[in-house]
Amino acid sequence: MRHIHKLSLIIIPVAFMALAGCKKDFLDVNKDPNRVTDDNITAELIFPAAAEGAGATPVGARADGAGAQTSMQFAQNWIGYMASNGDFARDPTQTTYNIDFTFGDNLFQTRYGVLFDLHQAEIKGLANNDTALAAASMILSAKMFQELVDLFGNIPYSQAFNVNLTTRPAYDKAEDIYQSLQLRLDTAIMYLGLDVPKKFVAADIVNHGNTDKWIKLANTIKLRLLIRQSEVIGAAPTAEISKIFANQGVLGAGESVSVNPGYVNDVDKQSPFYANYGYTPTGVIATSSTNANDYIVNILAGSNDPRIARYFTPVGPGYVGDVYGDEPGNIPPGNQSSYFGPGLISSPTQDQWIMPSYESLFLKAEALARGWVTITGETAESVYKEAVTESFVWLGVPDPENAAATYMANNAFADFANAGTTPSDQAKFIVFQKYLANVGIDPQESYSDQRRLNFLPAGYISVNPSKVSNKLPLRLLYPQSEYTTNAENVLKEGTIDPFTTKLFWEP
Amino acid sequence: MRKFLSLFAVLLVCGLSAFSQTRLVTGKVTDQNGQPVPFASVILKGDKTGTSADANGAFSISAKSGDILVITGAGITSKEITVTDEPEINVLVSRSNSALTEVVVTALGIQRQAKDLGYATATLNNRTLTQAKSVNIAQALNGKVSGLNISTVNSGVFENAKINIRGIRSLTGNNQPMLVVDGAPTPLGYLSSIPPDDVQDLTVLKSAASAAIYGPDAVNGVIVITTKRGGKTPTVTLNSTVQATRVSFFPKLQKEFGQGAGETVDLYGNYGHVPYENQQFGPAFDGSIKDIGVPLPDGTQQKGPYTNGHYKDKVKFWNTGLTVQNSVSVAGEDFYLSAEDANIKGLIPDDVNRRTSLRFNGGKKFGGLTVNYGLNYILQNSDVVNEAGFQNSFPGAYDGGLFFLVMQTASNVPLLNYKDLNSEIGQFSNYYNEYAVNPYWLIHNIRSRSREDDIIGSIEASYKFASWLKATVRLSSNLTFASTKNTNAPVIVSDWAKTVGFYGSPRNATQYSDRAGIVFDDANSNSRINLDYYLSGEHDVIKGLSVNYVLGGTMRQNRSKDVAVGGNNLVVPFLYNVSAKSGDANVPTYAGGTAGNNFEITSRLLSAYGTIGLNYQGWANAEFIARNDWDSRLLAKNRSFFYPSANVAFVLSDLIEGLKNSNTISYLKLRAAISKSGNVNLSPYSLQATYSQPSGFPYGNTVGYTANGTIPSPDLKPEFVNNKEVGIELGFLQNRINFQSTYFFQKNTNQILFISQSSTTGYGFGLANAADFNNYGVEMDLDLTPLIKIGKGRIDFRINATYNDNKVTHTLGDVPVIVGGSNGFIQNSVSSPTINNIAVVGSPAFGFQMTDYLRDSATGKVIVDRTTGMPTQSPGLVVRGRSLPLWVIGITPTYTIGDFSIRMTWDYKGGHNFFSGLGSDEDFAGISARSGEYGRQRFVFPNSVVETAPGSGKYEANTNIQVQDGNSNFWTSAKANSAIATNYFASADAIRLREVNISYSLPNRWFGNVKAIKRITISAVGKNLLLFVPKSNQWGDPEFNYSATGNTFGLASSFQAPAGRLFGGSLTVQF
Repeated sequence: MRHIHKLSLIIIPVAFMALAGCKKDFLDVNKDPNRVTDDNITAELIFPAAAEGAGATPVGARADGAGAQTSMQFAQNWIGYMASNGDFARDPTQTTYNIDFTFGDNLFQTRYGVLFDLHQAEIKGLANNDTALAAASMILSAKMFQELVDLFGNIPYSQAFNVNLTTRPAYDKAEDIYQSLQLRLDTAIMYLGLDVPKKFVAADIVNHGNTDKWIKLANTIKLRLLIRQSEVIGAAPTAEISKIFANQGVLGAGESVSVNPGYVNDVDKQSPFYANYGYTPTGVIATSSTNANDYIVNILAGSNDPRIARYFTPVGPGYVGDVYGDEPGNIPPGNQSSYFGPGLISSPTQDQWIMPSYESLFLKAEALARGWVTITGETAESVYKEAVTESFVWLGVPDPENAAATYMANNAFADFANAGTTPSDQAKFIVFQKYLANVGIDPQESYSDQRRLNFLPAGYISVNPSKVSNKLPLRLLYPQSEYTTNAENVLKEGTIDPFTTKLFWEP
Repeated sequence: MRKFLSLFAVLLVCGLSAFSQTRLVTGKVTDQNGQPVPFASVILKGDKTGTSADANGAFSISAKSGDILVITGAGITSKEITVTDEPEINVLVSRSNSALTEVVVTALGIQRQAKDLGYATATLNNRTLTQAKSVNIAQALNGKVSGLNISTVNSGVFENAKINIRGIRSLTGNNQPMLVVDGAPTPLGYLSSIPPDDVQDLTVLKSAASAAIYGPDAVNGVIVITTKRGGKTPTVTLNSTVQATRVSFFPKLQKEFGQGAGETVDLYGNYGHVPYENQQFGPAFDGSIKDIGVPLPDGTQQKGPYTNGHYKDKVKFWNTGLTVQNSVSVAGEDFYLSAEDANIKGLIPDDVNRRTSLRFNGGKKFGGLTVNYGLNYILQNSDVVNEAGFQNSFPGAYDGGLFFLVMQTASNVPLLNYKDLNSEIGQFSNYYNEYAVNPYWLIHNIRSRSREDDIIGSIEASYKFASWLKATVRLSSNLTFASTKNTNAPVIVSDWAKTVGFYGSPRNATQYSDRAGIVFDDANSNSRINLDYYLSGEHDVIKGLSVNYVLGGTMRQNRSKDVAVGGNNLVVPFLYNVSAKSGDANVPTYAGGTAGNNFEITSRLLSAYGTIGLNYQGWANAEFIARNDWDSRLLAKNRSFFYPSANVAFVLSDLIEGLKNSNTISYLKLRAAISKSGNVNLSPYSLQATYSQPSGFPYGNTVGYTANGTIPSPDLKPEFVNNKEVGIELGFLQNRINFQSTYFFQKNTNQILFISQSSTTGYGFGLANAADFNNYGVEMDLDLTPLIKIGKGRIDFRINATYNDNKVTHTLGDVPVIVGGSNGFIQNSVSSPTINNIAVVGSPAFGFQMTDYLRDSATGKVIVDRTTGMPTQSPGLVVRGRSLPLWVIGITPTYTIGDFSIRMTWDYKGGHNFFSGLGSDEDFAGISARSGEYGRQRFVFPNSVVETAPGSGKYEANTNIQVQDGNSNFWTSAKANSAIATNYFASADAIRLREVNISYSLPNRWFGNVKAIKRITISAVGKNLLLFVPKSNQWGDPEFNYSATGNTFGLASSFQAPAGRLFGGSLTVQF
């Protein structure tokens, strides 16, 4: 036992030595020296990436690797703007409308990703008294939420982006989300009336601190939300409309909203639409599978529409499109099909559009045609003409005013004299021109308009004999990722049939 | 040291006075393999005077000429030898069971005798390890130890393997064992760098209990390697081995149909032949002469018989790999010096990996002070094709990896003829295929070259203050400097291809467009410094009861740094420097962990521990261990964690009188252990959500940040493994038959997990203490030594079997946890399936979660459409199977006669499943055997049902409704075929002849009894010679996995070369 005593005399000091070796801060080495964390992030650091994402994602983030189709390629093809050429086997899912659960997954997740960044920018902006930045984030977020609702119907909204509350957000009703977006846009407009800090002006790669333009963008989205419901609301939404036109109104001619963080002609740094449908930094065509759709080429060429030369490149003397859904053997290969033209892909550094001016004018024209609003000195016809002309200007058609006037005069379907007398006929007439102005630019708006008003002449439906429907799907299926990670909530939405499960605004 | 006394030595009475004429006789006990036998007892016959040999088999005893020494010991056959006038006596004994006599190197390098341990261990000597001349120790362990499951995940030149001991203890964290080399904790990666020849012995501590003293790293078991340290007599050993590798297992392919994808269709809807297609949905081979590819610039047209005559080209495409290993070692008094060179040429043409290693181990004793040191330098250079980087040069192409390029070649196409990249038909712009690149071009132009310098050093000093107290300090360090350079050659397309190559038009722009070269340069360094200090000793408390104790601590620091930069637009062709580019540099952002780029990481760990061991009269042992860790990766309040453990062992054959002299049961031991171990399965800096600049940003001065995908719970706590095990060890018939078995049960709690969550939360993943699971099993070892004796020859037989199962008992909110899979899983076809490894409550970890057909819930049969006959995809994912084997069985028969021996290792793994991504890609290309099953005609989908009336929800067997298209529209349809993971999901059962070694030690007279030469051994070696898999597996080696790291198992992709078979010869000369 005596030995044990001696032993402890040695052991205890050594044990203390061992622990004394750890100075108090010896273990305090877990602060990340490599990444930005919540400790040092600011709203102004988040906003530019979020705003760029708001411009790029509706164009369609390119899925990694093979196929290289954008996540919005289906809308471009379904609506008759684009089609795959004879070089590639036809896509057995997209061309048959037999969509599966992964079909919209990438789209769904990328958009929620951008929406989360906008949400973070809003929260951190408000916390830091940058209300203008918060407002800008809310406006872009409202636009993207509307577009998600228009594809999926009920989606997580009120419980989204709050992991402290739930990791499985419940689904909100689409009409409730629409309602809430109007309120949020009102709030954003109110914020924009407050002080605008310099740090926001520096971070605002969309409107460079021009609050009037932000307010007009907010109003345009408010109007678009109302127009979308045209076929289901009973009465004119006078109250909302008057708010819009009492404060700045919607975006007018020359007031396109776009984003440009400083695109350059380098890998991953080109303007998104150009990167997808233009040329690579080394000058190779960016998509070898996708060209003009035979359907739109026929309409444009048949009406001597000068915009065809801005949308597409000629093959020999004329323009050649691919028939959507046909056997590759029956349609021309890529190098004999019309590719995208200078109106869409002017430069790898071009601005990425968020809301083109003409689209706003078409919305305004429809609101006037429907009698939702009266504006001194403006009629549905005058604004319609302004919109068509603005489309010519936007695309860079030479001598746009005269060219547009000639176009409208020479084509019965463009001459407002043939617009009909009922609001419904006039709306379809206007929307068809909106469709012709939006070629390649906003396929989702055209897809939504077609589902709302069913205005397109026949010929855009896939010719694949295996197609499961002769009509476009009314919506997409909820994505696989939601069935994996949020099953109990998505299953509450019941069985979704893309051809019969209507969105609330679909007639 | 009392505890080192052997089994029989304790019976001896020591210290009798010496007789006259006696002298001190020294000697050494060695076994039939020349390995020293430690701790044997040496008794003077008829006198009971005795001693015991030391750990190296050396003994000294007072005796006179003519005396007879009796040498006995556990696991050796006893031997009598007469003392002569020779000053040294070498006693050769035959060892019957190494497990019993083996010294086990336990924690901190402390040697203990196997019989004293209360937990399961296994020791392999150098000879067992080097039997098949594996370059890599991991490969050499396969099939030899119960409880060990080693999966060779690809056939590349690095021989990547995943090692699991007794299954898994963490769902998403590390499950690989800890590696300890000469007492120094060493990153497991070194297991593939340490030359097997340098290893003296290797001990596997299987249980968390056995490893309690090593702390958190040891919850998955420990592999303890002791490198050679030299001996009394200087020995020089030369070894040379040459092995060749050939493709051993190739997927089943269709041999009837050639190129076409519906570009031309005849009146009846049959697809025409398309000479430039990559997909093989064309007409059946008919023997006619047909075009291959487009007309060439010189006006010629390749033609050939439209047959499957070049089917074999897809096998011959792969090289005969060659592995050449040379080593030389010098062992002398107090030092060991070795040099080794291994040069591996892979199955993939041009893939090479060369490793050169130098080692110096030494030690010296000065009175009570002992100093040991070792230094190992390893240089590794490799040059391999960079399949993952291929797509960077061909964005949007379907090229995929090398295997897929080969699979996109129809069987009428003479693939091997395109090898010469300067020939008219082989050059890039003229390749016959419009949609895929010449695979030889890929091999030559998309490369990854890397160099790694490793320095492992340790120095240990110990001082013996008294017989009961020793102090030891050990400083060890591993340094790694690695650099990698990935280069993509520019794509330079001829004017012909850019303008008129495709029948007067430009060729397909996806493949045939100029593209600038790409370079990516990465350099990283890792250091790990370990300081161990402890006091140890033993003491007789009362007669028959001795106590041993250790008290100590550890300080550890890990540091790593990585710098990476690339350039995507190199301006001067074939000049690969990051500054010779246009535009912005490619600077990857850090994404967490140590697998990313551009980071600096520090983590630290402090530990204090103590053990007390009690030994009562040699037959009863008990050990108690306690440890506390402080880990820098957690918040200060969670950082400290304590865990105890205990184990007992009873050698009943030494206690029970009836067994002491039994001829039937010669050894009986029972043991039990209980332990708890804490573990922080977490990368440093994981407690906070982070932000990074998305692709493209920054644009000049415009910066932008986006939230990264993971939201951690800041309050993360360590995981705990609660381990219980009981074991029995039995020896029969003088230990000719030995049996060992252990049952283990591990309750793993507080699992730190990445949990997939809805993207609508803003974060795709959460990180939390989110699951518990149980892991349990039985391991068994049976040694028959010898099984039978045939004249002078003998057959030994060893079999080990492990049954291991596990069950997830809890996950956060009972939500299934996705461990890995489609996330980052490389797959070529757009229509590829979703498949994940998943942990679901009540199911084993891991099951597979995957896409499946819509099925009738009553019968489980696939529902097809009444009109089209086509099946469709189910919205939900199904959970099936398991990724880890239920049974792993290894069988090692050996036949020895004189200096001639044959050794084999067979193994069986079964009860688990695997998924082949190659299967889906092959269906897309139209080359799989599956896709040819119905002759490309319409067929009735097998085992299908149709709804009796629309909307009725009732189904009847489908006997006559055929799918509307039996050609590419079925096989490449995502919903109907290629995105359905269950189509490519099969049993992973496999029986393998893992290793064969036939060796012969040449009789000395053959080389004229030259004294200098001690031994010459020649051997023939083979690895993976045979592989048997069930019919359902049409695709490949079920052990392959797309990733060599992480916890995913059984997910193969086409980014892997086919499995290989090795055979060769070896020559060893000892001087």
